Amino acid sequence: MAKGTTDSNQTVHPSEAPGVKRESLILNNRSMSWITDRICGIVENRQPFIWWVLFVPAVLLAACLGYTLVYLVSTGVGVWGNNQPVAWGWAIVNFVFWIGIGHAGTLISAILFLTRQKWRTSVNRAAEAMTLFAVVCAGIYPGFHVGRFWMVWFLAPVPNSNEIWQNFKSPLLWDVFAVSTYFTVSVIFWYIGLIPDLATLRDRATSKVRKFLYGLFALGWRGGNRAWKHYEMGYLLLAALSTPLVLSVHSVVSFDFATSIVPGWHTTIFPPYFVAGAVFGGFAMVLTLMIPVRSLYGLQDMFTLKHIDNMAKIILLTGTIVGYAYIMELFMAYFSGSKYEGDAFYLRIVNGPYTWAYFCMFFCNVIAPQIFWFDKARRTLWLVFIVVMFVNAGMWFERFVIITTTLARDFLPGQWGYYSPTWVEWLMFAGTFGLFMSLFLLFIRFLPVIAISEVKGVLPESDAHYPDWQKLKKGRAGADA
Amino acid sequence: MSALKSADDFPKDGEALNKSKTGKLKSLFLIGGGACLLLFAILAVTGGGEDGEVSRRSVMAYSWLFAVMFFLTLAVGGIFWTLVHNATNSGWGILVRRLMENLGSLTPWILLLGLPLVFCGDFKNALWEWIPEQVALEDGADKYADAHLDSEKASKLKGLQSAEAALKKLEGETATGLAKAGENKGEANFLQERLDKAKADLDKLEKGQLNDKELKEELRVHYMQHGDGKGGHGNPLLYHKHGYLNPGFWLFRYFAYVIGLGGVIYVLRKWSITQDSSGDPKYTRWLRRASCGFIAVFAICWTFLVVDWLMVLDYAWFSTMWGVYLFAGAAVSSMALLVALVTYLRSIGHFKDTITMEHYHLMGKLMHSFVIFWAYIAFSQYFLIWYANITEETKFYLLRNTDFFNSYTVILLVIGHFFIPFGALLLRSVKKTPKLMVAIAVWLLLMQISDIYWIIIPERGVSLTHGVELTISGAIWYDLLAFLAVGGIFGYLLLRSLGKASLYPSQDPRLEESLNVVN
Amino acid sequence: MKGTTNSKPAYGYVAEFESASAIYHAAEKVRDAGFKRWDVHTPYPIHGMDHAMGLKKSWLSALVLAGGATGGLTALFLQFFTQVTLYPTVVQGKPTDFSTLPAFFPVIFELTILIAAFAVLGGLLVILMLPRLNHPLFNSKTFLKFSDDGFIMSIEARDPKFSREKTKELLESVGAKVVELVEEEV
Repeated sequence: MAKGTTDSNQTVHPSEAPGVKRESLILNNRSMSWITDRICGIVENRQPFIWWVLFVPAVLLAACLGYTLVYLVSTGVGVWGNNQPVAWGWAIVNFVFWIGIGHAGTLISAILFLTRQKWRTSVNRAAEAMTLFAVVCAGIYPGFHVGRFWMVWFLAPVPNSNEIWQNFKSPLLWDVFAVSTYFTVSVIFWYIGLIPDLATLRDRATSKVRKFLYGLFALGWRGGNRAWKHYEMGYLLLAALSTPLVLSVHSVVSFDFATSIVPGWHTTIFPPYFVAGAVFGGFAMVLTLMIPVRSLYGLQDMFTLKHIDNMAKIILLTGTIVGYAYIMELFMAYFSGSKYEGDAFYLRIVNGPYTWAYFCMFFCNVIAPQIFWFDKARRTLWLVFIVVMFVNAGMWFERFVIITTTLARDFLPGQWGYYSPTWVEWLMFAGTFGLFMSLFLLFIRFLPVIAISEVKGVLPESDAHYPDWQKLKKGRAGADA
Repeated sequence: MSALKSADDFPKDGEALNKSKTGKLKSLFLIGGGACLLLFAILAVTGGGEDGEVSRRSVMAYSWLFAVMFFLTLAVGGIFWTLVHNATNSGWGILVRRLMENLGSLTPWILLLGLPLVFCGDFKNALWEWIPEQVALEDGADKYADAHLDSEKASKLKGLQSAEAALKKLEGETATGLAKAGENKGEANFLQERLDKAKADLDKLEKGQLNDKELKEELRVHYMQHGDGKGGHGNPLLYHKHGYLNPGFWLFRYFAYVIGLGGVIYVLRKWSITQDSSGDPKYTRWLRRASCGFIAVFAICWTFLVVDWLMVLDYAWFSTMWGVYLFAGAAVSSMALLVALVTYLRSIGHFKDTITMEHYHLMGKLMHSFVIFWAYIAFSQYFLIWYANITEETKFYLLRNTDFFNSYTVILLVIGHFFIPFGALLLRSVKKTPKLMVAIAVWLLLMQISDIYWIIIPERGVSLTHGVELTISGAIWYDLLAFLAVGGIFGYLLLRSLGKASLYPSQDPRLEESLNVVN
Repeated sequence: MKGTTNSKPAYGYVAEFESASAIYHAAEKVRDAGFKRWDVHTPYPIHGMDHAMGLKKSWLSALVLAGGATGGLTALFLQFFTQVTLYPTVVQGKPTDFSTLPAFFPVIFELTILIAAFAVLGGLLVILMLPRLNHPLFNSKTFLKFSDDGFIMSIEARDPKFSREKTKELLESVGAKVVELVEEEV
């Protein structure tokens, strides 16, 4: 049989057959200057009206966060609904929620870079920015959870007049190191990635202020290959460092729970399960932000359906891994024969005060993403958007289930209680969304939302050995308008 | 830079295994493996032993499990890499994909080599104490129920009469209490509930009274949980687990694994080989789609397989990470075997212009990342159990950190399985040097042997001698013999499957991508 | 850039090429001509350009390895010093001696990564001699295209092989679209 004649009457090379052909990452044969113009245009032109519509409420919400924090510090942690035994209420649920979201950025930047997934280039900048803002939101909670915020410096291992040292055997101190390292390294990674793009903005700047500021942060980047050589090595090294880092951060967060003997928390699968969950929630948040951004700013040719399709696949994969972990937990709760473990899960799924939350979680995280098995579903924007909204909620419920269900039914029945958040907690949680959105909108306003230099690198003619670049250029004449 | 290679420059029917060069090795594997198998079988059959002493056969059961399990991890790793390669739509590894498929296709055969473990009574009783204990527990319970049925009936009857009297008394009490309670609704509710419950209890008692079967079951459960207070001991833990750990279901699961894992790789390999002749791109699509779904089948089969065969070597122990841990080891070691296999095939003249140092580099990177993944999982599992310090869990590590096994753990697993390969694979130049890569691959295979040995063998001494001895002297020779027997058969089957089709998918639409891969 | 070229010393030539492919082949020729102080400025790193320019592999990784080792050892020392020597406390049912090592792993790991990442940033800045906000090349309009879609080659006047006429000819002969002389700042 001749090659590839089964697919259609026309002879196509099998590698070009539908379902086999590699989709191009940049659509419509766009040129480099088009890419520069389109991305820098977002920063240089006036923002669309809808930007303001989003920004003003976001800032107001962020102000609510400020207000609740001041209220909290001036009054005391009692304004939260925490009680015995649910001492870790809202604060840790939301901390883990936000820190989990903050994993996708570094995953996209680092792991997909190491595995040579070129499609990451259109997504990584926004995802990294989102990571930083999520970690900022996350950091607020443990910081204020200590009650006396002005004593937070006690967390740092510095000599003090009491001659007391931190307990390095405590998972909570590992958290301090893990989260602060993660934030710092993510900032470095993000900034190093930004340098060439800041240079682009500098060279296009028309006003003196812009030229100075972008120039300052671009550090005088001249794009020489002698610099690129070290730059690429540095980027590779950072990716190689960030990959285990991103695994470690959520593993350490999971150690907060799993090193204890509390039933429902102490289980050995927690580290990889938390990491998978974090990636899952993070990707959902990236899609939540990027689906609107791409249509608002006309980035469809760079952030294509192929990208959304790939991310939906990762959501499906990680969602299913999370499902595997849920099932292993249930199985071992039965299999171990441990009465406490069995009871903890009985209360979670059969008859407990928060059983409803468990089913919300299970539906949102495991069932809902299964629709992504269908090719069509992964490329239908509104459907993807709905599913990722479910995932966002589901991941919040997961942390709520893990923390609250377990604590509300402690070893001592005399301590049992029902925890529900107060208005301060609700407002604070809403406030973190405000802060997150404000920061993200400012990022769109002032920095390139897609990594310009990296996207240029995946164009076909960027390969010095690509034979047909002249043809590409010709076909492009006038098409960029 | 040289010009790009085109798939058209390579023969359409790929590259057949040069049988004249592998024939000798193949027969060596077959004869050597067969001889070892025969010797092993003779030793096992004649190694009955008397009651109360450790029989040779029970010692050899552990040897066999160890050998089968080690080669099973290699074969199952082959399935995993095939699945991942297909599901991720990869192009780089088309040239080695057939080797992955061939490696994976040994899985059902190796599982069938496990048949003696499943069917030979002495083997399985020696390995998995829960089986004889479960059987003994059921027997004891049956006897206890039969013996006590009549007396239990009589005492129930007595109880019934007194209970009826008690209920009458309670009814009277409730009536006066309710009158007294008056407006106090809480008190009234409490009294009413107490009465209703007593009535329901009595009702149940009457029904149980009438039903011998239920009464018997009640007695059986009582025996299994508490024993008979004399010689027969109950086992509440095993009773709790008998829904999962019972010989019938266990056997059923064994066949489910053979069909599940075997079926997955059979389908994938078959489509892949069919594409060699037709070049039809539809198979590429099918392989991708099927692989995505098969990953779930694979994960479930593998997880419960290692629970059934390894975790329940001590049925009181449990860890949710167990399946992932064994999977991580399987992935590393089968990639190591693939590296060694590619180098062997290149040394006898295959893959001359096709597989380049870039492929070595990529396989090295995968090996590296899974060495790290294995260490991450191994450390997390150890760490969480060590930190929480719960007796049922720590027993696993306690045993493996005692005496001889302690230095073994630290040196072989911590340093040998992680630090050495991690450091060695950091350098790019190492990953592009086949000789060094083979050295690392062989090292990693040795470490996987150690890992499986470390999981299985420490249980042997304590299980067979009831905790008196940690190790059994001379047993290592049986381990070696079993290893050679299974290894010989494994090698023979691998070479046989390599000879059955082209060494790489010659008409895969993405062959060119793999030929020209640069990273 | 009119007439008075002699009043300021020349920094070197800047040449624009049409595509990645063109500048790649030009770089091979310039390399073979034996130039040392020259560079290729592109909007993105071109794969294989190091080879075309005859550059060695970056040695940043060695620096980062050293950084990582420093971080790990610092954390090890910090934890042993404070937990075993200075302020031993029996908590979490864990002893205060060497056998608590696993509990120190997370912090050892995190500090290893942190210091290694600082080494990447610091090392890059030092090796690339950045920040340098002012540079003669920034005065060239042709050069500034590098951050958009220009493929620019620069050859410095300080290169021993440099000559105003011959280098220009060379650049034109290897396919440069535009060749421009850039002056040194004074």
